[in-house]
Amino acid sequence: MKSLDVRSISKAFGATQALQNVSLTFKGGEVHAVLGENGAGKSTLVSVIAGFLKPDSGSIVSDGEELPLGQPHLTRQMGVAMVHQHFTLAPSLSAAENYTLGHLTKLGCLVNPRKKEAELKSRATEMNWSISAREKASALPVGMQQRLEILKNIGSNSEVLIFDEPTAVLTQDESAELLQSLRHFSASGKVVILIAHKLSEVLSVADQISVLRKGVLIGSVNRSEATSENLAEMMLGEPPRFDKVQTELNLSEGLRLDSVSVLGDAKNRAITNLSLEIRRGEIVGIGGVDGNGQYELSEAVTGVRKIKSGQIRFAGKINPVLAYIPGDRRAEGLALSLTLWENLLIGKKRGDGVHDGYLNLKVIRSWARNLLTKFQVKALGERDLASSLSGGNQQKVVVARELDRNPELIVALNPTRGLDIKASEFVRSSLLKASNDGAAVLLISTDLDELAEVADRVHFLQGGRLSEPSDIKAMVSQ
Amino acid sequence: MISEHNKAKALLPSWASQLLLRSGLYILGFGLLLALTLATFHLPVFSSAELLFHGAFGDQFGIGRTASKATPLLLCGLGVIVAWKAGMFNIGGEGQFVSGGLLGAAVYPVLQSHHISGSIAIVCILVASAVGGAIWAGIAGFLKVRRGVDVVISTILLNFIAFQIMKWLVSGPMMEKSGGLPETPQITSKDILWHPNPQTDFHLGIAIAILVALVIWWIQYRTRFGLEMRVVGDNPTAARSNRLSSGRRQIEAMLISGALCGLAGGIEYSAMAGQIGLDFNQNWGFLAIPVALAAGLQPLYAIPSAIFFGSLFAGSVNLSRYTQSGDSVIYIIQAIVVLGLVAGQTWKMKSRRTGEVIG
Repeated sequence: MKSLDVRSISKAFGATQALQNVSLTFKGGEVHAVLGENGAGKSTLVSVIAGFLKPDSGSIVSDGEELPLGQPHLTRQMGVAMVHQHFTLAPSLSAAENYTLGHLTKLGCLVNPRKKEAELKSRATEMNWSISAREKASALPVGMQQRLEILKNIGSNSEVLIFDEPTAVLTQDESAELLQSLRHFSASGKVVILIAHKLSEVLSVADQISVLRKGVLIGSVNRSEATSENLAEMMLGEPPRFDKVQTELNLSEGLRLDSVSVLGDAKNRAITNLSLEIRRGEIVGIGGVDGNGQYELSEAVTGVRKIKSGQIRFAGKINPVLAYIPGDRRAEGLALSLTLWENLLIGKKRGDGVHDGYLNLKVIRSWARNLLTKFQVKALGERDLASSLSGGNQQKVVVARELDRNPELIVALNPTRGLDIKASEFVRSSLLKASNDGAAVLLISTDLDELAEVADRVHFLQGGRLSEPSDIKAMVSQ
Repeated sequence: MISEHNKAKALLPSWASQLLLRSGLYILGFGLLLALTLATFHLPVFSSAELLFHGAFGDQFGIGRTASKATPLLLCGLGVIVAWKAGMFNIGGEGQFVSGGLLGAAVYPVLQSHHISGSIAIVCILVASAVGGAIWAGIAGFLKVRRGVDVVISTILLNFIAFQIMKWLVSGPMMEKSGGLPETPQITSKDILWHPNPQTDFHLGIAIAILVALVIWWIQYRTRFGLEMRVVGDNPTAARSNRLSSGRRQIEAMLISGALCGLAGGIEYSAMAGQIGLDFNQNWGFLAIPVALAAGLQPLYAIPSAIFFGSLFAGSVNLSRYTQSGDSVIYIIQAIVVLGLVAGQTWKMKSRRTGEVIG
């Protein structure tokens, strides 16, 4: 397959025009990035190419042959493979078994597990990857799960490879490695399509960059012509603003951790002898690779996890008004099958229509409506289900709920993970504003840029121990 | 950012048009199902359907039968809803029904010895049976929260224990002294739950059950307690990070669920059976699961759902003209209804999943 032509594809969902007359050519041997904000139509576009969605009009042609539309199985047989944003692994099956799942040819056809295992190993070696083939998928580190996911979905006959935001769950090192492997694929003449919203990633790996905005193709530029400024402008329609509010520390006593030790789920020592002080109005960042005690630290500070030794106090008290903003809003932040107003009420004690015994729905609904407007949540109304919102808007709902109680202490754990630029900026500016209003903020994040932008000082967490404050600005500019 | 709600609102409130559409589709689908099942059994479709309908709603006896069968279905169905919404898959409605009935029957001789009778006695019996059911479900709730024992398994096993305890009690400690049958003493007629017309099966239970359904709806959707139970059921992790005590809510949900099933047992005992014998468990606790599922786990929808299934069981007595196994036909219909609903759910989830790709 030399190239893939997308010809005037349009697709509407109800009143929303997700794609409008989009035409693009993807060439073999190139990494072609499709860039855009959440909701710009990137995922819709690749879902159409991979056959998961049937477009309202338009066609897709590859080497003079039309691809079947809306038939993922046929499309796959013709060599179009897609690696989804969310993993599709069966957690309790081994890596080799998961791999086999992606490469079953016919129902009822016999499978030779040894052969599949060897196949997985040889393909991994080909990519310079190591995968423990017999380990359960759930026991593999996230980076390895991702590689397995890729090998599972991409067959040896795949000519068009689509990656839908593959780095969303990876650390920076893992992301860099993954992006390198994209080059490996394109070097063998395959068409590689990368969906992304992080500019730095796109600039580091893509040969060709196309930008979508609100379902319309804004433009397609060569890597040599692209700069982060002009790409951001294409994505957002206006130059991005990073107006950092200057925090005036009001420095009264806030959160204080004195030689705190915490056990992890496996009774291992997750946090050892950690001491930290965050004054009110201060944002303290904690960096470091996931799995070094970040999760346990956030749980200990929010009081969900018991500490083994040491002391956590907030201006002398045990229970400050607390806000917790988790990174995984689906798993930790929201009850997805409940409505927005119900989600906004979670953890609310009293006021705005919440009485000791009953809920005054009229008051609550209008309170919820105001809150959704104030936090710029895109929704039809407060009675929408939380599951119906996009990731960015779901996170805004979490932020709205947590900040509405005027917290004294905010704990945020990777609060912008997987969000697009605008939504991330919104979350960060909300944190800044809350700290200006006198909250002590503990921001735990794997995103160095984020820490540099928002935090007053940054420590790193490694093996459950805290480093001395680092000069983050210098690290990022390097 | 909040746009105007859709314009269909003008004609009917959205929930009402939803309800109309839903019930219309249900009735249509059910009619087809019924016809197919009857035809499969070589029963004359139209006359059998007419008999069914007549048996359920044709006269005061039919209506009484329907109401008396809908009562335990509704109460146990509500029990299922409360527990399942809190993420506790209580399959033990039957055991809780039995233990409720037993505690009610155990209290009765005590009341008699204190010369308490009439409505006070009935209230005491019903409260005791609710407590009995709550204890039985509470065991499973406690085991789940404190020891991590799967609720499905523990409630199923507790069912068996309840049945065996019942066998032992009615043929031993609680057996009627005079007769030689394994039964508890018969309730005297003035202590029986109120029947407007003693000749029919119609009794106060259905009104109690409907009232309870309204209360449960209110608790679930208009109180913080209910909201918390549903949050815990939908996403325990989110509940945890918001510092809600999931375990407590789950145990409370099981207690309420068990109390409802126990109350059903108490009403069955004090209004219909009048005593507890070996045939006391008529599987209402199990039959209520499809009732709850057909209601989409919504307490208010459980009312029509229970009346609907109740009327099927009530009407099936009339099928004996054509077949000895009228009940079986109804069980089959019930099972197919549930399968259809499960299929519908899957389909809905599937379309939701493809929807997720968007954006």
